[in-house]
Amino acid sequence: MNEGRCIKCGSCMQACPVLNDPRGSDFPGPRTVGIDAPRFSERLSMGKVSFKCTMCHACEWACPSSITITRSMIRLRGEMVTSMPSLPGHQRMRENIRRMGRTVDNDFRSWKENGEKALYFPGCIGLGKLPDMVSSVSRLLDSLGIAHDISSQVKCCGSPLLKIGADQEAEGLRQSNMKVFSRYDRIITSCPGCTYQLREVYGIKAEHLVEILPEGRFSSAVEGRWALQVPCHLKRGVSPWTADDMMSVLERAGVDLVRLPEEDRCCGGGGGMLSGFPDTSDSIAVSKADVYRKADVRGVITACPFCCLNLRKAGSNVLDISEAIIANR
Amino acid sequence: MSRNAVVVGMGASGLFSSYLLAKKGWKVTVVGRGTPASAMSTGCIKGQIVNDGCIEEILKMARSNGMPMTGPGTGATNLGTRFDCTLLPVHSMFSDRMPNSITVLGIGGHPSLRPRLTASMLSGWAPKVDAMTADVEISPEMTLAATFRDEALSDRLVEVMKDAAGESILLPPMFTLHDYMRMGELERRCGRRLMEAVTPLGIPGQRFLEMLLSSAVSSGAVVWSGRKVTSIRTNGDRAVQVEVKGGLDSRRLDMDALLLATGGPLVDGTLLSTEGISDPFNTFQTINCPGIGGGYAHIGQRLRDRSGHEMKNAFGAGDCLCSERRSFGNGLATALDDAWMTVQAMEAL
Repeated sequence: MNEGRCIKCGSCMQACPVLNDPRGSDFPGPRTVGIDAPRFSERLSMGKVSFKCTMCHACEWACPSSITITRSMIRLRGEMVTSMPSLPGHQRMRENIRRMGRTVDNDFRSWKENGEKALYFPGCIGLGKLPDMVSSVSRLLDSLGIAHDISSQVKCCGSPLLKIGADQEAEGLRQSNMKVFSRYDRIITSCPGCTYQLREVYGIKAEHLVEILPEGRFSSAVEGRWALQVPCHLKRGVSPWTADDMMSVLERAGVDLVRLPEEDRCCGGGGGMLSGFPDTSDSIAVSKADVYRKADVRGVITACPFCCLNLRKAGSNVLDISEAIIANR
Repeated sequence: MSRNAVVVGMGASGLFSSYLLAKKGWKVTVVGRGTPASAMSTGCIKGQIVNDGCIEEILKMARSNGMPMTGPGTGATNLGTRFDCTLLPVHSMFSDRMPNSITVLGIGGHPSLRPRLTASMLSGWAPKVDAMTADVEISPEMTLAATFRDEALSDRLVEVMKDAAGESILLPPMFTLHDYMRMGELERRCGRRLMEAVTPLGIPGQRFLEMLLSSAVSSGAVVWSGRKVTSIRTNGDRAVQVEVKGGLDSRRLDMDALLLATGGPLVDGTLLSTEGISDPFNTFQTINCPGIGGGYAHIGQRLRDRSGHEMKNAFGAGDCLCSERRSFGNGLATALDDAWMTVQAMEAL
């Protein structure tokens, strides 16, 4: 890796949303976990606090030396799990995947299996916790003229397993999903974590909903002033242009957007934090909800099921982008 | 019709020239990634700025961002040493009114100012210098850039400062650009003159960069942060298109003029190898000099192609240019002055 380029400037530590949260100050920080630790043999004895990272990539963006800090941390996690008992939440998630192929249970029944050419891949959190969001994405795709299936055969994309070092199991999911994908020409997702996983690890051209929207014409489905929550894995993972697209789609639809400097700061929900360190994850979300409350907006628009879930728990009024706009025929 | 400029680099010269170009009606896209060296600076301009027009623009920008600057003058660093500047934020200026007594105030746990060390270094500055530590809880884990947002803490700080022996108080930097006016507010509430210690690798540098960024944005420049120019396409003596990569995506951008402001030979600036400095875009000529003077070859602010011919519409500014003026600690002044001159040259296109 490229950890040797570190010039000890501390930019990554300043950018870290976990380290800057009162509940997260026991996290050793991106420099220690991602840059210093991997170079020493004692790296495996850092303990479970070294998993206290949301994988938001803010440190990587801040790094003047282009060190791939997140990748180093994921690799280290992979080494650590062999010598350390899993966190209870991570264990539970792994068992869920083993048992039913997804991270969370669901009673989703609106499968669409009509042999269409496009597949909408909502991801575990959408199916399990946000069925309304899945329906609204599906409706939006319909009104854009994109006939699609929602297959009951697909499993977890495997991204959460990579984040907790379970590489082999993630590979099993990939092989199983690829069999389903082979029947489709186009894969559309609404979860940035899934999009990134499908593109980077599966090597297929999956599209996030936000990447499709610039082609369409929309009107606003909401009133009042709204703020943005730009998903980390969309902006800093998939492509920074998606954040611009999100904003311009909403503005063209006539949504009254309030831009806040904190809009692209992590909600605390990623990287296995929701299951592994729910208290810290919650605390980060509460601070964000506080920012939105002070900005005096009607609510927050995002494009990620994790952001939806985590910020709603913290008391924000959150809509997925598919719930904030209506397609014009 | 407005002309398209692509500016590569989001440090001092890249953002300052984007701001100036956008003000002059150019359609500017500024592409950059990472934390530039200017964000790690002291946010005070140490070196000489040759162009009065440049100084005027900086002063105007600083005023409208709520962080007025002044100079020339001397500040006190967080280690208690003198720091002579061409321009510095008003609360960093020490020399305009030397106090009879100074209290160096450490904030419990704030790592950037160690009051006793700094006070002993400062002892020659005023007849009476003493150290004091405010018993305000800040976690020892805090980074140098830890901000001071808590209202209740601010009230307690005022109480502590009312008891200080000195007529001036030296504080560690605690306020971001958005909160800079709170220094003045604290000053009024405690009845002392508050000085901010000149501190690298922390808030002051970030604040300066934030000022440049918000000025560029509000003058209309489009900021493509987190993205990197991977190649430049030329047509004869003109640079016509850049390819930009961000995340898993990449896009092409046509332009009427190109400005390279990629900084010194760090990872994302010019390449540095055992053979010396080279151009990561493989497009322009570079020159190796002893010391820190190497960089892109240039005629005025214009770059040369690899065979040494002058480019018509490709310019450079700041630390990426080969310069005999450069010396350690002067980067910010050269970067801003250079950016200003480049914008004049681009206007003449």
